[in-house]
Amino acid sequence: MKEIKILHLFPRLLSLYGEYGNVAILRKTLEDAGCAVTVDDYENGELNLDGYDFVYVGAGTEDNLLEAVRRLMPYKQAISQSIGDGKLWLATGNAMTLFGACVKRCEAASEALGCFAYTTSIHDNKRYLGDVLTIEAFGGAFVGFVNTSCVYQGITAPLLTLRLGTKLGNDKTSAESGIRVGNFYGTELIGPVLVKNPHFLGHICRELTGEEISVDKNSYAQKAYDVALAELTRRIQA
Amino acid sequence: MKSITILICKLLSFIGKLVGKGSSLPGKVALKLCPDIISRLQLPKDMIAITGSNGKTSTVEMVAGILKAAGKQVVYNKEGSNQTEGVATMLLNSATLSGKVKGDVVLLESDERYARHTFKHIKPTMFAVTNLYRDQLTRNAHPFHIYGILSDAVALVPNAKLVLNADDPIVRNFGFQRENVVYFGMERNSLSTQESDALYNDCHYCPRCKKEMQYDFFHYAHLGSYRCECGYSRPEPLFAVEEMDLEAGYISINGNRLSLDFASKYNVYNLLTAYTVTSLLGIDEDIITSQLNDFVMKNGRLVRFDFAGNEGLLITSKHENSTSYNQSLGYVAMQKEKSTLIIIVDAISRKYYTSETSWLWDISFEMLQDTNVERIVLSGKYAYDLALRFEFAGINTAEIMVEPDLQEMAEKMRELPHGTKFYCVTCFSDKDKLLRNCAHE
Repeated sequence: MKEIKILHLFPRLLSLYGEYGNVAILRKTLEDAGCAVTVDDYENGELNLDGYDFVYVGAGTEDNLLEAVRRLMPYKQAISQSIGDGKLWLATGNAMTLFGACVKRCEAASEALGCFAYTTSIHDNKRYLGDVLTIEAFGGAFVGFVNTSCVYQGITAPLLTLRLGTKLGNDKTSAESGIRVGNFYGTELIGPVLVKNPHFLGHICRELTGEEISVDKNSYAQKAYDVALAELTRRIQA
Repeated sequence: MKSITILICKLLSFIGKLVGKGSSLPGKVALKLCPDIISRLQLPKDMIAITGSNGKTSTVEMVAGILKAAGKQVVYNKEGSNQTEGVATMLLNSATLSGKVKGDVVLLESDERYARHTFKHIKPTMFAVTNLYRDQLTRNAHPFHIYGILSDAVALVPNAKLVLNADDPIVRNFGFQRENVVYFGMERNSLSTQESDALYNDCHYCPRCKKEMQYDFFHYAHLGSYRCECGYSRPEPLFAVEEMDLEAGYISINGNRLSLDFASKYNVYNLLTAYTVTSLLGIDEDIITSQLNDFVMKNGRLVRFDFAGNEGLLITSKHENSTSYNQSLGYVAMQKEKSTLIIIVDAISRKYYTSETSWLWDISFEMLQDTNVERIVLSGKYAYDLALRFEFAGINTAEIMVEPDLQEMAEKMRELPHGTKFYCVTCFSDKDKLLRNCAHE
């Protein structure tokens, strides 16, 4: 039986929009496929990334994002090393902010983890939000929602291209959204992204196990995805 | 110009009523014609604004009822139009052509996002904030974002008396190191818990210093008795629910017992806010308690219906608001009789289009385990999203039916045996679909 170890960073500090669902559905899907899955939480104190197959971090309030950066700063080298070694990471919502070079907020700039060269500007008085639909990636179009105050500059390897909400990309003027470098996946889509996008869930499971795991076409997950895809496609065509 | 603007507003409102149009347009036109029209009015001495994520409409209804019973003439937005234009319509329609607002008290239901705009025109003498929850995430982002926006409104009324929920660490922050603040709250009772009933706690960490918050007890969500080592803590409330027995259907506030028409913790906070506001206005306690006793909400939040000879209760909840859902589900979960619960998510909002369903993962559907709910029916366009969420809720004590089509669902419900008790939890955007297509009020 294959053993998979998952680390959920800040399930309380960065906990908006039901994003715990990403870990819940990943765990269930892997267990249904016969894997033995362990999930650990990290909130504070010593961080040891050794032995983890997958690290997840979700969205938080703007203040809490900066607090998360502060807590992780002592481990920035270990985090960069883990990403560089090809460990699988997923950041959803505004959690991408943690991994850039710096964060600007109210004229002040502070250092972030520096795993990548991009910068984040937090615009407290502005929200960029809306339903999004993407061009197909990893076996299907992504459905979801963006709701953020963050603007990213300098991302050269976007994860997705938006078809609906084409001004909700990383820099909030274009359609390029998220980041993918090696096995690091960052998306600005909020909430349980893996729940809403069964094709991406299947991709992550395959990356983790090396086995062909996919979501049943008659499952509620697939049917819910089909409804959202039809609705958002209709929005584009309207 | 003032008199002409008031006249035009009254005329547009009259025409609007004839054709069934909303209450914002006349005020919008008036503000275009004369941008400072509200500040030119002669307003009453007492001007009350009530805001918060949940319960403001009910609370305003309660306060208005008490004030009227005390013989006060109340100017308030009955239609619930709570943005600046709606407030302008309300005030101008209540004014003489010379600009004197005819009333003893102005009572505003204030939108959390628009209070900072409205308060540029009108300065409330008392500003009550009931709570801040995750609400309409597709518009409001998160409660701390709304806190920031509301802080701008609070700063615009430095002389107003703030009336704040002591049990809500986010709301309490408005009163931190500010004078002229009155707190209300709920003391520990038999329903208080050591852990929150919610799947998340937005105040797990102190809003001021980010250290872990200590809770002595929770009422629900992030509301309860809290303290942080930095000194931030729940203040002593001046007005408090000292006793609460939902089974027996009563509470007591500052020694006065009130019986409950709708026994839910959620509604208790509305009663407490209304009690506090009207007490501070000097209304006699007897009038307050007699008005709040068995208070029946008339705002359509609770609708009794008949479903093929079986009785049902529709509890209107807010989509995109897990606290609202948790309270409704909690009410159903505590019932002693066997029941069928219908949950409908068809249109997520009646105001804007979205397919966003993340909020379903914030709702504590788990509380339906081991209750008298023997059948759960999931319906509407997003029934499969609900069904997927229920796969993780661990409920094995109820049969779960999934039927996206509302009419098909209704046909199946009609086949259930006589004596089935129905509850339906859904939003304003979907409640008429149940009442129109499936059942009779």
